[in-house]
Amino acid sequence: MSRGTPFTTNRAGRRTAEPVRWGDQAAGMLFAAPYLAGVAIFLILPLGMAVYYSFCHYTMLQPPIWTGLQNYIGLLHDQSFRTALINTIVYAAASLPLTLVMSLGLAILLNCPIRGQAVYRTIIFLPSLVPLVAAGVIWGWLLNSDKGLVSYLLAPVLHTAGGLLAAAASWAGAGRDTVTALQRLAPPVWLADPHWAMPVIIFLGLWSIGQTVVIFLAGLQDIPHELYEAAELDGAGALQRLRHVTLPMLSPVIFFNLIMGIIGSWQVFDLPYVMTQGGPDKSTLFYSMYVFSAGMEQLRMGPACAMAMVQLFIILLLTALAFWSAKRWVHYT
Amino acid sequence: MARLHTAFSIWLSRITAICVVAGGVALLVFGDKPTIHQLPNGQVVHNRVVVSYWENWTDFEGRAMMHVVNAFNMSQNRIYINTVQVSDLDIKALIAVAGHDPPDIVTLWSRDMGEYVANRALTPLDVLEKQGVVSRRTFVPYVWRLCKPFHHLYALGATPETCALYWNKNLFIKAGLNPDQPPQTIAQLDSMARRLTLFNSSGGIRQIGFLPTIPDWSGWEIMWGIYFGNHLFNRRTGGYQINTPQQRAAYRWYQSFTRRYGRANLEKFQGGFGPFNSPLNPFMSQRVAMEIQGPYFANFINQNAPDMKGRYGVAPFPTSFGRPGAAVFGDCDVWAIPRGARHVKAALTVLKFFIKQKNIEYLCDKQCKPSPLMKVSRAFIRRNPNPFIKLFEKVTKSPNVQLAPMDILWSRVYSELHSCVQHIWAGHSVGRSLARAQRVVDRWQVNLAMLNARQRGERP
Repeated sequence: MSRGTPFTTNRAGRRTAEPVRWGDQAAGMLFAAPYLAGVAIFLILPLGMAVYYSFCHYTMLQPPIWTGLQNYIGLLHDQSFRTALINTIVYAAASLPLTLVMSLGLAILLNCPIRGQAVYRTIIFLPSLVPLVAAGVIWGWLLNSDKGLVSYLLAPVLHTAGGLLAAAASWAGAGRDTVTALQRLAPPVWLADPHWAMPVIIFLGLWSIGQTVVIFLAGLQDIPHELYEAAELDGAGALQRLRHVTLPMLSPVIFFNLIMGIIGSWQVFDLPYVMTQGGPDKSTLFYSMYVFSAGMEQLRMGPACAMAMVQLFIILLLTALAFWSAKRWVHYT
Repeated sequence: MARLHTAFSIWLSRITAICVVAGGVALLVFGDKPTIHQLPNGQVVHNRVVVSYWENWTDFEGRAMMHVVNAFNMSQNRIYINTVQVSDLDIKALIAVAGHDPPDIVTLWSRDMGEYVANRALTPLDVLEKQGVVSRRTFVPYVWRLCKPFHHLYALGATPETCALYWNKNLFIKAGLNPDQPPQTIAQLDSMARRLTLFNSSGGIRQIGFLPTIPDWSGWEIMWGIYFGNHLFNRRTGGYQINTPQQRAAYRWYQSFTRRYGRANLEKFQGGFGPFNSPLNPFMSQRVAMEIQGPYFANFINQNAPDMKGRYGVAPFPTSFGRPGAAVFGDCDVWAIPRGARHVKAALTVLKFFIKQKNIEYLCDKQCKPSPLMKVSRAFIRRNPNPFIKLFEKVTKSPNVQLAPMDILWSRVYSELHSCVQHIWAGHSVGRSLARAQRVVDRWQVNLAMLNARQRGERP
């Protein structure tokens, strides 16, 4: 049995594929079979079933009943669905750029040859190792409105600042209500206030940017040093080197993180599920949470599958948009 | 070099293959040991039917149930109960039924019954009624209503939980109130609550008289309408009564707390509450003077705040339309056999044992709850560690107990109402919020009716 290269050279000097023997083909299929079986059973089959159930009334306990587009039409009238969709769009729109900018900034800083570089890198990566559920519980306590460390540390700062601002407002002739409000400046009730809960969840999304930072860092280290030297010789400053060397060279990595970020932000679940359960007043009800609630808590598998299909479509659309735009700004060397 | 590389590759592949095969054999030989079931006396169980039982009690409540289970396992040599403590049991058991691998017995809450029965997830237990093991006279009325919802017996009552008002006598005395005189009406409750509420120098709440968001168990706050004369579910018409004058009155009252004290102030105050079953519970830490709770609360007070013994009182919760106790919110843990259970006969034998007066009374005694049975022994009343057991026995037997609606849509309605109440708490219009929830639920009911008609082959 030939174990050499599967290519051979013909008379014209071109390499052509050697016909694969049946035995080799069978061996190849056999080795790939576990993976293919896994993909078929755990990916393609569930996906197909989800598509089918999205057109059915299905509670898991009774046979599915075909209802056509009813589930999809029902979503249009479902206010919770609209709320979850809007919340997720807001979250994705805020968290994605924030995560990319923060992690890129941190990666650039961590790439600087400074003392204790390894320690700083470890510190940044460490939170990614903490399970998000555990992090959610800890942050829940830290942000507790009565006994939380964040409010405890912030209260005297706000009290002093409020006093100063009140004095200034009073001097400027502001109304009594304004002055009193400034005097009573206090930390918000982070997770119990519908106006604050969403920003808190967006901010806490930064907790696990360690992995994105590491990917950026690897990308930064792949940039040839000669390019920086050439740019320096041409008189480029630090910002110009960042704009004309680092960002273009890093664009494939940025693109990868963008795609992963789009997918991740549309699937946000753990932190809000642990910390707010979608409240207060549905202000942190995200798409995946609503899918879970409809499917697993209310046994409405039809609408849950329909929502999952809509989610898949949105993610595919955004990914396609990202790929389309990539032609203009991603540079592969 | 290339030959050496090829030889090394072959050697590595063979070693890997040998390791994989050896690992597989080792797993088969050592990995799949059958579970050994042991009796409390250490004796290993052989040749018995193993009945799997999923239950949701933990800690001392779980130990009480284990005592009954052990008593059964020791009482005969045919059946062994394998108890598994499961969190979120209601959801997991449903999924197990859907996956055709359910346990033989489950403990459910009353709020799950409608969904389980409507989805045919339970095995009817009518045979027990035919055999004369249970009848309408066995259980207190509301428990029987719960167990036999649609002309079939689907469950057996385990431990009932009817709610009452707990008040802290020490705080009453400090506020200049009569410690032996609980409020008789909602208006009195409000006025006493005002006197019992204290603020700190910065205007924050230090102690509150009463707060309708406590206990903060998800969903409890949707039942307040009961105490204003509402019946959330009309059993005659099968419709939900969400936007009724009584409901609007209840949720205006509910919202009045945020208007009176400020929502941010209340949220900040509530942020300091610890878990229900800890000494940081607001009632046990004396931050809340009055609270609605079930009979089991006495057990948690005994465990976490023994100093409070004798310093708190319990009375039927006041209503806006009549005497206290004219409406009572009740719940009950029940035992049921899921559809598709493998050992139905053995499970029935187990259930017959569980509901023997002696065993039920042991369980309810250890959980500080009243008995679900009509017939109660004097010893049970005498030795029950709940000092207010007589009151709870009376409340449990009352015809005024209202349960969560037993309807297929209930879990969905529950979730909608929970959001609606949060919306009201956030300061939105009570009338509009309830009207919207009513519209949404009505639409669901119409859709369900259409779907059922289609299922029956009728034109919707």
